[in-house]
Amino acid sequence: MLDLEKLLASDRALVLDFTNAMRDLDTTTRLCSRTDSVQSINRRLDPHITKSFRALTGLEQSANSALRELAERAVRKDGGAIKELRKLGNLIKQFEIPAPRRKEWTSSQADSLNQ
Amino acid sequence: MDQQSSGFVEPVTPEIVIPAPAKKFRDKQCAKCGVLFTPVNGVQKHCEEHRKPSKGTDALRIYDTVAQQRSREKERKKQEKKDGKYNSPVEISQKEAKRILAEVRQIKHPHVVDTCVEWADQAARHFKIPFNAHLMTHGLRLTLQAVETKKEVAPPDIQPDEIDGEVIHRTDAYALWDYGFWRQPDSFEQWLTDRYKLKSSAFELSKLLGKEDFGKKHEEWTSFTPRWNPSGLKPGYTQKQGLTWLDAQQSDTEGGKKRYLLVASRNSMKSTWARILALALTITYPDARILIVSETNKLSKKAMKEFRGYFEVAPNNPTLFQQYFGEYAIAPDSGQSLIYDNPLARLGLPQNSVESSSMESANTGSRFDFCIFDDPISRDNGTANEEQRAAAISKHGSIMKLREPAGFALNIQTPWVVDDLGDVMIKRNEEDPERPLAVKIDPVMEILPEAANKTPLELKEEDVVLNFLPKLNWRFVRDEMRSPEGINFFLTQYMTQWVQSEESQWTPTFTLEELQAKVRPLSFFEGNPVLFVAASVDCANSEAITADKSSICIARVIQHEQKQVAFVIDVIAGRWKYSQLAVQIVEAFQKYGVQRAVLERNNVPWQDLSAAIQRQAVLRGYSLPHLQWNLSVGTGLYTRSGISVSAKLKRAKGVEILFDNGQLFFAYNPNWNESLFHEVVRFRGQRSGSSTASKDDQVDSLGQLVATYLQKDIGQPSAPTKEQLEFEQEVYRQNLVRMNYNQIFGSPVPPNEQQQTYTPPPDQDNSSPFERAGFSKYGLTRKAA
Repeated sequence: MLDLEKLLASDRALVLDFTNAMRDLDTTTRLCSRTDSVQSINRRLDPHITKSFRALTGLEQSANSALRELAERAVRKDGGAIKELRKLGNLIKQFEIPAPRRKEWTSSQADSLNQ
Repeated sequence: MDQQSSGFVEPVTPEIVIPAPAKKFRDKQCAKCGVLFTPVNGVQKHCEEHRKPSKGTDALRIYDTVAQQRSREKERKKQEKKDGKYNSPVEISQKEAKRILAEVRQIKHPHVVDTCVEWADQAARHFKIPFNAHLMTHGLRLTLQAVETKKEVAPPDIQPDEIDGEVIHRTDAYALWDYGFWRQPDSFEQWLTDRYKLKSSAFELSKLLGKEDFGKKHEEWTSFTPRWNPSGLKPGYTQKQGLTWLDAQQSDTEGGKKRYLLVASRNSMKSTWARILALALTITYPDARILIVSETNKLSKKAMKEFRGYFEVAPNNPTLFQQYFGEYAIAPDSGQSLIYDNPLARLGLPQNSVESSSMESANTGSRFDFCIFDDPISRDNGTANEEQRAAAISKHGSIMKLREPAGFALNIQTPWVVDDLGDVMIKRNEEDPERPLAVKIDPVMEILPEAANKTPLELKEEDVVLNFLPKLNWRFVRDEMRSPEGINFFLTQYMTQWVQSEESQWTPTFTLEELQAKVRPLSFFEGNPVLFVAASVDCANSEAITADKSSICIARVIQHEQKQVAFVIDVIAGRWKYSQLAVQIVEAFQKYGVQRAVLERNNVPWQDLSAAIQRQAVLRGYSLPHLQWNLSVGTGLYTRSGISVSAKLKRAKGVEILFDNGQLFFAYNPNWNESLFHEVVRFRGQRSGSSTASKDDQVDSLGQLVATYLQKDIGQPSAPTKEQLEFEQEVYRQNLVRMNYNQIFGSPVPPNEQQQTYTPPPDQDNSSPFERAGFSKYGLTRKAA
């Protein structure tokens, strides 16, 4: 596992982009039905694939050799590499990124849903 | 005086018997010699020696002959004295005139004698004086002076000395000045000084010849080229002395260089100036062998006509040049029209003094001391293609072999195309540390530094300094810039620049030797990691003999020396229908295990072809690699002349770069090597035509493969090309999509497992009427008993 401390901010952002794109891709896939047309499925999948590929292309130019290698493997559809990158992205989310524009609920605040 | 006492003995002629004197007479003194003698008769006046012999004797006959000769000589002298007077009306013959000049005036060179006689005759007619002996002995000016003053004058006292800068003696030169330069007031000494100056400067000579348009640049050219120094050659020089003199000639600015290249603007009178330089040489060193080489035979005739025109004398109307250098003049119709033989040449060399030739004709056997290549190439000759350029350079080289070691060669021309004769000469000179070639380039104008960023058409008169005024003035230059031939023509012909045409900038240049040097055995890259096997297909759709071919290029992309190398292992080309092409493609892919393939889809029904390929693959149980259907779009690049740079040409240019970088190799296979190399060498970006030479299908497939799959080497890790990126993205997309399809539609069943086999339904118990009625599917079953 890569050391998160050693990753540059730009690399982190790219890993997050990739992770998010893959997450969205999974979500979209689950939302698709086998009765949908192939064109329709493609139209919904393509933006996420493009985003993930763009992120991987960026990671291929990274100064971090381990990350670069991981990205190159992922581009060549190495399942292990993709998993590794997604795991890395989830770790970054878990430890570093507070949810943007989402206010943490505290007991001092009024909970509109419960009122 | 007594004869006895003096001891003098009279000679006695034994044949003459002197009878004894009958009578003695007293001694007399001989009327002729004054000697005392004793006469034999009273009327004898002469001594025995001087007395007339007796009649009927041989002695009398001898005596009469001698007396007659003496008398005639006396008479002749008397007449000569009479004729030798300035006002003698007796005209002498040409032969006699020549005798007088040679013997009395001591003129040494026979051709000078002939010239002087001819001119004296013309002068006599002009001044209406008799062509008499006085004119020959005293010369024209003294004769005219005597006629005017009506007094005899002394003949000129000129000795046959040597003169510095002249190959004729002083007597010869004086006679030439006297009989030939009477129309001008200059003195003999001034005439000699002028001749020296004219011989040593082509620019001064050009002014004498009336070349009013010559200016500062022509004066610079005179300093640039060898300056013929008239000093050093003496009358009666030998061949060795002549060659030593020639070897010692030097340029003011370039020193002792032997080869000169003058690149000057069109219409700058460079040819005329060069001919005048040759003229200066032949009047300085009459035995110089000069060769003038023009582009064509027609032009060489014109060049020689102009050159001979300087020497051909119109009757009674010599030019100023001919008045200065009359001894070199010739009659208009003398000799052959393509040569000039210097009348003062004395060494008897087999070559002509000045000979005109062309790049079209053979020049074997004729050596030269000075050669002028007068615009040896043009748009039509020696520049059109590589072969012509090579032929022109070869021809120039073979002519240069005729140069005497002491000789000189001057090439004057305008630039035409890159790698033409002048360009190659300059490049070779720059490669040589000794710089044996003197080069001078003079465009029609110099652009001032403050206007350097302007294009030619934006220039104004105040932005430039014109070099060849008054002839090539600003108005003329502006007109030429706007000529229909285009600005490139102006840049080459007037600005004397070798302009790389934009078409040629895009033209890939491969030589057969370079290609053959990249051939390797099939096992050469064994051990290097093979990244993938790629194929490229250029599709055509006809079997006609003149149709384009389809070409399948297959290469292994190998990691070698820290860069990606394409090792072309096969090129399959042929004329097939689409159905056959699909078979060929699948078989080739299967044979070489192709992992990636790019096919051109321009102008072909690519969906149908794609289906045919898939069908053929299924029939063969072969899993196709990912096929990328490439649509070639215009590059958007246009040359200045409006020709678009095709994608094909751009790709081929890319091949050239990778080729030079050692990223492209060919497996040895005589079946396709030669055909591919032939096409690559001939490829100049032309449109594919019907002839075999104009085909470009194999080049195109090779270019497509290299552009799509081969990573450019920039010496460090680099970003992939747009095509590679597109390809990678497509592969990535397809993989992910396939993965997601599996989730959506379920895993695909392999074809061999897709065959449905009939399996009979399990035996059912239909004994019950409920079962037979199908109630069981509603959950109604017979209650167990």
